[in-house]
Amino acid sequence: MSHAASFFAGLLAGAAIAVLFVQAAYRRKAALFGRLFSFAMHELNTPITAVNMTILNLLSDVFGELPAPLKPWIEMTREQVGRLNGLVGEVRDFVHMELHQDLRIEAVEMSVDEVLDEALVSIRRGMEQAGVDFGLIKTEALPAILCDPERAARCLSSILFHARKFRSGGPITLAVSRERDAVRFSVLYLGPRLSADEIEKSLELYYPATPRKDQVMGATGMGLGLIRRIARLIGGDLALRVEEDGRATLSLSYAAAGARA
Amino acid sequence: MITAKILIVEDEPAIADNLAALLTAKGHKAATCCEGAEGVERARKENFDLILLDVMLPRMSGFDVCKMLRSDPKTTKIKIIMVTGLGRMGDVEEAFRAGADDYLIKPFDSARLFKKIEKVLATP
Repeated sequence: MSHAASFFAGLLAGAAIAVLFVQAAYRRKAALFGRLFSFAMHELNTPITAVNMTILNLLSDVFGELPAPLKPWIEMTREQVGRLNGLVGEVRDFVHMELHQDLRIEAVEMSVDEVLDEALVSIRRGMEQAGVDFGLIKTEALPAILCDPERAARCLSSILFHARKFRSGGPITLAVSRERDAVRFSVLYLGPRLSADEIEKSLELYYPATPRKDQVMGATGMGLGLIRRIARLIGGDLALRVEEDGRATLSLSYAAAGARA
Repeated sequence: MITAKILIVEDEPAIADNLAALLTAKGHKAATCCEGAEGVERARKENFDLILLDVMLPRMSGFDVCKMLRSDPKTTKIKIIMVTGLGRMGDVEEAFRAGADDYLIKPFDSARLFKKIEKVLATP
């Protein structure tokens, strides 16, 4: 081997070692970043829990009867705390999914009514306040579903918030029905017209971070991509269909309990 | 509904006081303390049916408190529900390894809290 060839081989080997060092340093930094973020989310959780409990106690008259004129304001606060709580949960899921890669999702049996009650408790008030005509259509005798008890209601609330945010007019309807071996929660609303490409992109994990020049919001919370990923981890799914006139259907589906046996 | 004598071990007074108020309103007898060692001491002296035990406590973790309670014949039979944050993924497994009967993930609503309490108290 000539001197020049050995020199370049040495240079390449040195560069490869340098790249490995940089990668290792980057991974350490990413892991630290993830842990710090996780810790920050945990810290945020404490005041949210305290405020949430105080609000629920106020609304349940645990501290005595709440004067009627105060009730709408406290209910509004509950909705906002619920959103904040949901967002913190989403950020934490994201951190564990992408940075720690240790997100653990449970698939346990839950009744549809349980998920609906939890998701709609504050949403109804928010819809009313925003002047949205909100309706629920539910097929009778739905089977239990396999979902994560900590995330099922949050994911459903998030897609309802999405519909409220991006609705261009008209009512929002939540239709719950059985589809073969699954139960589908479909949120129907009239929204902006979207190309097939934009629809697919809006379901990607990093869609809210996509650089935009139009200053138009593309997502609420951490976006639809996170909800789809979580749903898929337990055999469910999230789909978005937008007709040419803007009629949109966001469908969150979970496997019916017993269907996988 | 089963009523019980419940100890809340939680270092955040806003959460502890709200929990105590809620439990009292539902007919339970609730007491609070903000440190693990105090929790163990009170559990030894008073006859609690259930302990709601936070995981992240100053000085001694909830897991260590749980292990101490399980290893003491005076407190080994007290039901324990550990309260943890969703972000700490190993917490749930760790809680069961430490001897907890169940766990509750923050933030939780009253319906979920009472469901867990009833389930744990009904288990022999």
